[in-house]
Amino acid sequence: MSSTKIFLKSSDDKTFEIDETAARASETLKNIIDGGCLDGVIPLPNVSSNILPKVIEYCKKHGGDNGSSKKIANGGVDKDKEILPDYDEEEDKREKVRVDELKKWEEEYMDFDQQVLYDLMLAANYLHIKGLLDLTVEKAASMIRGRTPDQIRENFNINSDFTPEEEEEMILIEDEWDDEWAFD
Amino acid sequence: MELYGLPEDCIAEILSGTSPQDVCRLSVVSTIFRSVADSDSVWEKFLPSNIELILSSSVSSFLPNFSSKKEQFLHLCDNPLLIDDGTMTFALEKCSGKKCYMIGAKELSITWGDNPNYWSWPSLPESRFSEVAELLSVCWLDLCGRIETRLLSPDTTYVAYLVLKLTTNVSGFDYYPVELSVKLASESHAKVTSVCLTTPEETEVEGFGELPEETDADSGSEGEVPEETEADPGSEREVREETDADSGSEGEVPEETEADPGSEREVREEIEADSGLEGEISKETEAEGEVPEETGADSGPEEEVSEETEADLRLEGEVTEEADSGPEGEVPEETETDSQLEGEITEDTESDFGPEGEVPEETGADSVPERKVLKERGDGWMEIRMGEFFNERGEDGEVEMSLREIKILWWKSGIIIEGIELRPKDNQ
Repeated sequence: MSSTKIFLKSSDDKTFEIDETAARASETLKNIIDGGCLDGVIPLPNVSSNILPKVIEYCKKHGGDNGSSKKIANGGVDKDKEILPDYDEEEDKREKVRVDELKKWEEEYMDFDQQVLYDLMLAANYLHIKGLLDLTVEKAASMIRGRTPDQIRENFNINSDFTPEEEEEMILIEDEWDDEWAFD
Repeated sequence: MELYGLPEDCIAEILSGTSPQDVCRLSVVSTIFRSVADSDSVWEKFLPSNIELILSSSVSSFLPNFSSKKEQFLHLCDNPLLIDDGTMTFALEKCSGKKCYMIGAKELSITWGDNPNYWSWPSLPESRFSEVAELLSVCWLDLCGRIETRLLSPDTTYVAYLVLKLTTNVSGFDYYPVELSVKLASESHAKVTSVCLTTPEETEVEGFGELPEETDADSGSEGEVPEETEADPGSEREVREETDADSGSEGEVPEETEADPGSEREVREEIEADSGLEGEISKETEAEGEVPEETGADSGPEEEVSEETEADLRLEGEVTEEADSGPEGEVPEETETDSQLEGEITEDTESDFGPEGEVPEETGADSVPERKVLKERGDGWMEIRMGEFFNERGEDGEVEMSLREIKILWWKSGIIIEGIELRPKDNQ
């Protein structure tokens, strides 16, 4: 079953095609479509042609739904099950397989460098694609979580720019938190 | 493009996926990171969403004006907020930002807590609450606190701690175990731990590290711990043990013991213990209402005694239950009891008098109770872990935490209860 095609134009004037059902994964696009403002091509001045295909890939995969694998696992799209009069074990198994597959897909999909990560996050933010925003945010958070300041500097490729006095003060703050940690 | 070049709401999203500790670390990475990591939009995410509601239930009229959300957060970590008419305190756990509560003693259900012979309610400067519960003397120790899980942070394993301190008159806690338990309303069984309470100093002084206290003290025999005597039918064993306990006065046993023949007590327990097994015994046991010496010493026991005695009389028969059967339990049956006891028992008893008794392997009944050393908190109190539970979505109704010793009914005195604290387990 083919659905209506929509055309998206990147900031550098390249046009990409996407199914309407896939495009609805984006709140922003959905509003444009529903608002009847569709006029051939939708310009996306904040998304470059490097990133747009990546966004479209995500939308295709997630069709109408809006969540990451995590959301699905938590019952985000479990409406069907609620309607079913009795619990279907087979259905539940298939659901589990689907979630596992999706997780694997996400893992591969998210394998890119930091620059792409930020651009993709911005695009997801701009296009209001909740699931994609969650994925990118989580990836960035994982680069910070549980890391020492030195590791964070390395991860984000930055140098400390504190003065020696500030540096000393910073070390004190760090120690204080480490003590707190140790206390637990 | 760099991380800090992202819009503020994106950064706040990212950082809220970390922890307060991570964000504080981030703030020492570089100046730009610091300004990001100190922003209100980030710290707002670490404050509970209903923080305004919580603050409005504060009884303290003085709440500083915070210059930032971070400052507010840190303040709530270090300064528990007295809420709900002063019956509870609220705080945040610094590393995770999760909610912590302490239920004050006044809000706990304490059996006989309103009887001035058993419990008193002094005000202590080091307490965050206006009153704390001081145990004067009681056999039937049953104290329980409840809190609705919806108040707690979701998806979090919480650990409940009993916050207390020991007075100079403390006795009855280091030899026989008390039961600590935590149970969600949705669970059918509570997780129960049996522990003997010890302070670090005691441990050192007495020189016994773990379980076999008395044992070492006296005969230095094997050291099984006696507690749930009831379990085994072979009364001897238990008897012995207790005996040792007393006889080996040094260690755990409270002074009085030595003073008095010490025998009553043990006897008493065994009796109960046994009675738990064979029914006959129990009756006689209860019948006598002599107050245990020690007790007498402390509180004005006389009256109580009489009451209980009668109470007991009513108890008859039910074996095991006596323990449970309510407050009466405390009644000291001892003395005569012994004499009436079945042959074996008595014998043992006497035999026990001879301090060294061979030590019986532990009764086996339940597992050997842990000897837990109370941990110092930073606030002048000590704490002991009661148990843990997982709060998924706060939909489990109440969680109930209790401290009990209603089996052996040994006289206990000299602890002051501040309350029960719930904190998230480590850093999750």
